[in-house]
Amino acid sequence: MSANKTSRIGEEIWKSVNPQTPIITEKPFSIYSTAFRPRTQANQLFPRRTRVDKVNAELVTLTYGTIVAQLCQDYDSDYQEVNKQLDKMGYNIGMRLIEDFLAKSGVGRCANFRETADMIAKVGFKIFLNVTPTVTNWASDNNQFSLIFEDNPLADFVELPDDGRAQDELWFSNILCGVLRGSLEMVQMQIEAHFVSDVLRGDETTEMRVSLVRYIEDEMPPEEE
Amino acid sequence: MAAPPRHSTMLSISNGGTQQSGPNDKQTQQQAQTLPQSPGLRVPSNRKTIYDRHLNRSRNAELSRASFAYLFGEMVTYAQRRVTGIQDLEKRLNEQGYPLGLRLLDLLFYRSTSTSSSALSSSSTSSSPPNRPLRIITLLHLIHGPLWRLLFGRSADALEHSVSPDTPNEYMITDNDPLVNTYISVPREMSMLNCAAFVAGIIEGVCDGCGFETKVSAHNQPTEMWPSRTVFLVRFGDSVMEREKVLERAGVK
Amino acid sequence: MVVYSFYIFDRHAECIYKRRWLPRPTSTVGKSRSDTTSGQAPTGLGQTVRSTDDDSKLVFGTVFSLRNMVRKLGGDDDNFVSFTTSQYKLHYYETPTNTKFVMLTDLKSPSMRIALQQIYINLFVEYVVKNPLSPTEHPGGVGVNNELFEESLEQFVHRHGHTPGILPGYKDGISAIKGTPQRSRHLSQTPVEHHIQSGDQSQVQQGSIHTAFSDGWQHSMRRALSPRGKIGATVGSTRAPGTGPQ
Repeated sequence: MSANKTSRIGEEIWKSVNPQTPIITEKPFSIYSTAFRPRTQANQLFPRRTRVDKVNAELVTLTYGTIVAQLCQDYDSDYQEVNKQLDKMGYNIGMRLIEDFLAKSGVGRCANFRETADMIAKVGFKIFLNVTPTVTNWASDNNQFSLIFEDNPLADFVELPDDGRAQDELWFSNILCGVLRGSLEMVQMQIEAHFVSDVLRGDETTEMRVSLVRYIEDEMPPEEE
Repeated sequence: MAAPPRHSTMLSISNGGTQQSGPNDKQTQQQAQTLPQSPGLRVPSNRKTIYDRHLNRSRNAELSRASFAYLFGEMVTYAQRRVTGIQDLEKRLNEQGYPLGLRLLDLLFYRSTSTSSSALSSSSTSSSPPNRPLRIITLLHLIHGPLWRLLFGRSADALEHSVSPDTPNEYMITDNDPLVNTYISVPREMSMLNCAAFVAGIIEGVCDGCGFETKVSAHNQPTEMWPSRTVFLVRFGDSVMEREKVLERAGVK
Repeated sequence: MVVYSFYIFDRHAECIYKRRWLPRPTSTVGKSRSDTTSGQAPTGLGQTVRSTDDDSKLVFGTVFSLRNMVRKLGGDDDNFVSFTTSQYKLHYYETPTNTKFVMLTDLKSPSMRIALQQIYINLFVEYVVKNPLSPTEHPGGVGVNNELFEESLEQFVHRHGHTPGILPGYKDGISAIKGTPQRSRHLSQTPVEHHIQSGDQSQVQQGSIHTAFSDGWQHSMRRALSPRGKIGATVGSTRAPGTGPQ
C-alpha cells in the first residue's frame, strides 16, 4: 500500500466520509436491560454510519496528566518506575486499542514492517491522537525506524518537575511505547519501543525508536491429554 | 483536602492567564536560553514549550473519544489494584479528579475573561480573576454550564436544591448520560460503583478552588430513558453555609 | 433462520465465549453422542459456558485446521467463509488479531460473515474491549459475559432470526438458569426499593444516601433551580428526553 494511500485512509477515517470505511456506530443502546429498552432502539442496533466519536482534546490531555502525576506521587518520584508503569498501562491499552483500530479502519494485515510503520503513523496516530508523526531513520535491515512527533497532545500544558532529575529520567509520554508494543503484539509482531528524545527534556525533537524483534507464530490449542 | 503539591509542577495550566506567551516573552527567551520561571529546566531552542504556545490553541481541538476511554479505563484499572472496596475505589477516583478541577477552574476564568474583554492583550494579567463566584448558586451555574461544556461539550442536565430543612446544604447536578461511563458495564456485584466519582472529584476541585468547602459524590439514578443517569450530590460545609447567610444579608450577588 | 450456537476464540486458542440457543439437530450417527451429553443439554441452553466443554474444542480444531489448509492453498490472505454439512452451516470470521468468531445456523441461513464482523465491531469491541472493568485478556471467558454484551448479542441474534418462535422460550431459559430475576425487570417495577436494598447490603453509608434520595428528593423536596438561579418551579430535566448526545 502506498504511503499516500495510507495517509488518505487516516484522514478519511478521522473525518469519516469514506463509504468504504466500516460502519462505526454510536453505542446503539445502553446499559442494563432489554426489558425497558424501547423496541425502536433495538432496531437501531447498527444504525447510520457516524464519524469517529470525538471528545474535547483538553479532557484527554488533562486526564493523562493526572495519571502521570498520580504515578509520580505513588512511586515517590522514582521516575524509572513511573516509566515502567506507563509502559505497562500503554501495553494494556494497546491490546484493546488495536481491536478498535481494526474495527474502525477495516485494514487487513500489512505486507511488511515498512507498511506497518506507515499504518501506525498515518492511520493509528491519526485516528487516536489526531497527529501524524514522521516515519524516518530506517535501519538498513528495514526492521527499525523512528517516529518524530511534531505535536504531541499528551504533553500539551506540561512542564516536567524542576527537581534536577525528571528531565533526565522521566519519559512523560512513555505510555505511547506501551501502546505500540501491546497493539502490535496482537497482530503477531513483537517489537521494542522507547523514546530517545523529548522536547519536554529540552531536546530539539520528540523521537521514538521502534524495532521489530520477531513475528509471532499462531498459537496452537493445548494438546489433548 | 489539599491538592498534592507535586501536581502543580507537573501540569502548568494552573498558571492560567499570567503565562500566555507574547512577543516580549519570546524575545527575553531568545536572549537567555533559560526561562525565568524555572531556571533549572532545559528548553529546546526551537521554543516548543508551554510558554511559547497559546493557551487557547487546544481550545477547540478534538481527539478520539476512544482515546479518552482507554486512558480513563487504565486509570480505573490502576486505581482498582490499589483499593479494597467500591467506596475506596470511588474515593481514589475522586482524588484523581480533584487536581483537575483546580486547574480547570483557572482555565475557565482565563477563558471567560479573555472572551469577555475584547482586547486579548489586556495588560492586566491579574492574578485574581474578576469573576470568581461568591455565592453558591453562581458557583453551581459555573459548573453546570461552562465547566460541563468545556469537558463534555454540553451543559449538565439538571441542577436542583434540596428543600429539606435538614439538608439545606445539599445540591444535585444531574448528567443523564455521563461520558465517562459510556463504555462501562458494571458487574452486578459492584452495582453501587459509579466511575463518575472522577467527575465528582473534578467538581470538588472546582468548588474548593473557589473557596467553597465541599464534598461531592456520584450516584446511580437510572431512569427508563437514561439508564446511566448519574446524580452528583454536592454537600457544602458549614462554614460555606454560614458565609452564604452573611453574604445574603449583605446583598452580595 | 435458526441460530444454534455462537463461539469466540481468542489468540491463545481459548474459547472465551460460548452461547447455545437451540440444540443443534443431530443425525442418527450423532445420536449416541448426544445421549452421553444429554445431562448437560438443558444447562447449556442459552447459557454462557466455560471453555471446558468438548464442543468448543471440536469447533476450534475444525476451523483452525480448515483455515490453515485454506491459507496453504489460497495464499496468506485467503480465508474460508463458511462450511455446510447436511445438518448445519458453520460461519467463520477472523480478525487480524486472530480473534475468531464462529456461528452455527441452520441450512437456510444466508451468509453470516457480515453479521459476525458486525458483532465484532459493534458489540465485542464496544462492550468487551472498551469496558475498563473487564480484563484485557479473557482467560476462562472472564469479562466477555457482561450484561451489555450479552444482551446486545441476544437482540442481534433475535433480530436476525426473525421468524416467530424461532428461539422458543429463550427468555425464560435465561432468567431461570441465571437463577436471579433480571435486574432490569426488577428495576422497572420497584426502582427505588431496589437501590435501597443493594445499598444496605453492600454499604451502609451509601445506602443511606440513596434512602435520602428516594424519600426526600423524589417526592416533596424536589425543586429545581431556574436558569437564572432563583428557586423556581420543579423542572425535571433541562434536556427533553430523546435529545441526548447522539
